[in-house]
Parts: sequence; C-alpha cells; structure tokens
Amino acid sequence: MFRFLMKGMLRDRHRSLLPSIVVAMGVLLTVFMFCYMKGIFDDFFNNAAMYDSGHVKITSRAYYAEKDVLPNDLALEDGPGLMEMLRSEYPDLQWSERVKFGGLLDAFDENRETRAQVGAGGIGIDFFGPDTAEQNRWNLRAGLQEGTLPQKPGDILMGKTLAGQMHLSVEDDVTLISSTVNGSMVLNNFHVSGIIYFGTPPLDKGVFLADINDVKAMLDMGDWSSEILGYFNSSHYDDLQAEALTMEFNAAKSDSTDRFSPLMTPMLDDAGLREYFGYASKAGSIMSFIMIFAMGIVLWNTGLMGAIRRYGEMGLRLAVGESKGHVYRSLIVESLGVALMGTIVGTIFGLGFSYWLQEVGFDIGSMMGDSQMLMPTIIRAHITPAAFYIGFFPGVFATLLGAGLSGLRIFKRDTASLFKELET
Amino acid sequence: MDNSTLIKTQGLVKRYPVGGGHFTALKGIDLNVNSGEFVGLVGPSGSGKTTLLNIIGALDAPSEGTVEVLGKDLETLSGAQAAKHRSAFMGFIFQTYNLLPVYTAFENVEFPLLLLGKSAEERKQLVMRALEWVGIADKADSRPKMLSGGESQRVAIARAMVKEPKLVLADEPTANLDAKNSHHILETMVRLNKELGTTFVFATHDEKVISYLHRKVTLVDGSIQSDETS
Repeated sequence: MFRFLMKGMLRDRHRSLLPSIVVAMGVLLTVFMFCYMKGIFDDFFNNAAMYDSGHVKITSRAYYAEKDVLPNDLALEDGPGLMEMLRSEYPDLQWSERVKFGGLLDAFDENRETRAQVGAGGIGIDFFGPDTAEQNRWNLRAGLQEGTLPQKPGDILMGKTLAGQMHLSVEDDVTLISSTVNGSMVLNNFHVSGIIYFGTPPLDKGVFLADINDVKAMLDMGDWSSEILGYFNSSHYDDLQAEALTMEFNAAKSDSTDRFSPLMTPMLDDAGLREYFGYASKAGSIMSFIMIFAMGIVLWNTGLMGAIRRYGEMGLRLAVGESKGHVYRSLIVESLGVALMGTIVGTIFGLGFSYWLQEVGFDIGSMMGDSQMLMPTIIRAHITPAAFYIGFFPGVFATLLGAGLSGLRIFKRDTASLFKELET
Repeated sequence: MDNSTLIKTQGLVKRYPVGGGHFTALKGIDLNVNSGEFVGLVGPSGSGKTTLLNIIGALDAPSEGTVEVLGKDLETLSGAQAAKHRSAFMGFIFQTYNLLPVYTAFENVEFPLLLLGKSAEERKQLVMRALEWVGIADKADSRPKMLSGGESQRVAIARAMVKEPKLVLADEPTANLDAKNSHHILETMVRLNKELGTTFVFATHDEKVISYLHRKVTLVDGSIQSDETS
C-alpha cells in the first residue's frame, strides 16, 4: 500500500514536485535572509570591535570621561607593566595597545612646497611587536592595494580615499602637523609604504595607520598607553562575558577616587552601541519571526491546497473501503515526505547562496556616500549553526500543519459529502 | 432477515438542514433487495435515489429508521467498521468513472485488493481476470487519459468487481456514455450478475439502463411510488 501511494505521489507532479519546489523556495528564502541579516549585524559589531572598541577597552578614568576629544595627555601610566599584568591575569583575551590622534597631513612636491593639506586621523597600532596580532586583526594584507606593509619605523599605511584626495602614492613622504601630550607643536615626517582599503568609508576617507612606537615617540608619550583593547580568544563578542569581566576588573584594579586608575569598558558601552545592540537583536528577532511566519503561511497554504485538491481522490478511497484514519495518515506521511525533501533542498540552496554572499560579498560602497558609520562597504552573509535548522520551522512544521488542518476536513465532513465531491 | 435478503431498510428517513429548517430527502423508505437481484432506483432528479444509494453503501447515515446490509445493522458500525464492510462486500461505480489519473488501468483495479491485503501474485491474477471480464485486458498499462469514456467505465466496473463483492452500487453509470457504449457496459454488468451472482443496485433515470433492469423501484419526492419486477 505504501509503495502504491508513493508511486502515485511521484507520478503526480502536483503532489510531489511542485509543492516540494514551493517548500524549497520558501526555505531557501528563510535561510538566506537569516544569514544575510546575521551577516549585517555581525559585521557591524565586528567592525566596531576591530577598529575602535575591542571587546573590552581599558583607559584611564579621565581619558574615558573625555574620550571624544582623544585626550592622550590623560593616558594610563606604565603601559608596558599594565600589558604584562593583563596578559598574565587575563589570558582568555588578546591585548593590544592603540593610540588615536589627529592632525593636519601635508603632502609636498619636489620643491617641498605644499600641494595638499587634509585634516586626518591616525591610529597607532603594534606593527612590529614579536607576538602582535594586529596585522591579522585588521586584515591588512587582504586590504593592501599598493606597496607593502610598514617594514621599518616611520612607515605608514594610508587609507585609499585619503591618499587619492592628497594625490599621494607609495614611497611618497608626508608631514603630520599635530601636538604632543604636553601641548607642544610637533611636525613629523612619515613614509607612505602602502595604500590600504579598509572597506569602511570613514576609515578609507580619513585615517592612516602608523606604528605605535613611532606615534608614542612623536607625541612624547613615553610608556603611557591611551587605550588597551582586549579581544576574546573566540573572536566573538559575548556581552555577558564582557560585563562580568568588566565588573571583576574594575572591582580589583580601578579606584573611583583616582582619575588615572584604569577603567575597563565593554564594547557596547564604549561605542555607545548598547541601545543599538538591543534594537538590532529585537529587530533581528522580529524580522526572523515575520519571515518565518510569512513563509509559514505560504507553506501552510501549500499543504492546504495540496490536500484540498485531493478531496475527490479521498472520497473515492473512502468509497472503495479505506478508513478515514488511514487516508488521513497517508496524507500526513506524504506531506512529511514533501516537506522534508523541500526543506533539505531549500536549506542546501539557501546555505549555498549564503556561502557565496559570505565569501564574495555584495559591494554597496557606491550607496554609502559620506556615511560615518563603521560599516563595511561589502555586505556579507554569516552562516551560523542556526542556519542549518532555521528552515525546518516553516518548511516542515507549516507544511505539515497545512496538510493536517485540511485533512481534518476528512473527519469533519460526512463521507457522502466527500464522495459527492468526486462528481465535481 | 431472510438468508437471501441482502438489503433491508425500514422507515428510512433522511433530512438535510436547509437554512433554519430541514429538507426531507427520504420519507420512510421500506425496501428489501435479495441476493442476485438487478434492481434500479429510478426517478427524477431530487427524488432521493442517490441519497438512498449512499445510505445503503454506509457513506451516509439515515436520520431515522434502520438499514441492514448483508446482515449488519449499519447504524451500529463505527467509521472504520463501515469502511471495512464496504471494502469486503461492496463495489461502487460512478457516473464520472473516478479513476485515479496517475495510475494505470491495472493499478486502478488493483487498489481495492491492496486494502484487502492480497498478495502481489494474487492481485495480478485477480486484476487481469477482472479486466478480461470487461474486455479491456489489453489496456492494462494505459493511464485513464488514454482511455475513451466507455473504456474508462469498463475499468471502473472491473475495479468494482475485482474483489467479487456481493453488492455493487452504481450511480448513473451510463450518464456520460453514448448509446453504443451504454449498452455494452450494461450487457457486461448483466453478464457479471448472471455469472457471479453479484447483486447490482442502480440509481438512474436513464431509459437505457431502465430497459435492462429486472426490478424497478420508482422514487418520487423521497417516497417509493412503485416497485415493479419484470
């Protein structure tokens, strides 16, 4: 009997192929949209962590209070000692020093005459340390457009758009006009070793990277540290873990009466993203729910229509002597087969498209204009373990629900009515 | 119930809810049909013949009265028991043939045997025999869309007859057929009635069918107006 029913199902494309395609399309969309949204949110937070906040950040209390003006004169004392303590007491995180600063960049010609001046931001990172992870963290090799990474003190990497604005090329020299932490004016020449594409408009338009030791020397910082960023070894931000770590660190190491004592801040608080994070989480959940719900309705209807168009056949089967229960169970088994087939195919294709978007990405740089958000110009999906099963909710449950509800009419309807529908 | 009595109805009433009231389709039907009869329920549309056929086939329940078919009081049967009863003892023939379109003629005829749990070998033998009865064995592998109306109805008859039921209920079996095919179908059913002793009950208002009946029960407005045996 089972073989007989399966034979009919496979021969009738309206019972097998078409509903499977509808289920597969619905599941494909669900999986793809889930990965797409996950990718957008994850990239946004990863960018914020990578370029600006770390997963946690340690500054002096005074620096944190005025962080918007990059007050390097309020930096932490004994940076190396603090780094050593962090590496030893908090080995679950990777620690990196950063110095952010600003100034006027002056590009000059062969006669030392200014040909372009632009206000720019600099970030000092550890290029040359023996165990530095910064080059990988910034993904510098992949972003390098021309030239090389800094090879020696004095080398810098220029953001691609900034270099273009100043008509700078690799091997050009450029002068930074800024001020030291003591308030003295400083002029420092840098050598452009490479042009870098960050893929994030605010960085490409206005930032250059220099070695942190050069920057500290230029700004007269000695062994002070402006910002120490911590990254979880897992590479993923975990807000609960970050909060717990922050409470523990601040309780042990921070003194609220000392403006220059260290203060740890989790990423969401440092970057002012807590509200956005909450909004994004809720929006993501709501969008996922709507998508799953909408797909559920579509697939429920597929199940419903599949069963309704077969009332005639059911009437015949009842007339020939099949019981209502057997007809209903066979309908559910068929529906389960269609749902599983469609869901598996849809999930495979959904993951395939998501993988493509994750690896290749979709360039929206031209649409971002003068955006100051630390968002990547290339949108990428992010495949998470949930993407492997998210499609099963609308794919299997909704289809089965549709078939189950429509099939219930078999029980509610008089046998004679179903029998009568044979004539229509 | 007499041993030879196959169907016995007493005081059969069927009401359908219409708006706030009821429409009475059958008004106290008393009918006995004996084994081996070739009987027709005859009457105009709306006279109640299909309703009576459905109740005899345990596809519908009466509002009042009793129905016994093959010694079973249908009112006492559960849905599953009624299905089993139909499967074991009854065959149905419809006006529009109602063959399952994705199956071949062979498979359509095979379906009732699957419900009875017959073995594959037995099924093959019985199906081919039934197709030979109706003269369509050469179309065993054809799908319904490849068959003419007459051929489709013959497959439907083979499906009803394959398990050699004691009772075949046929609702307007020739309504969609031309005169030549109608006569061919009816001659086949008469022959099966004689050879196998199967009881046939028709619901019809087709004169061609009426001319073949051995007994004609005329229904008008839900009541038996006449009961004539030729």
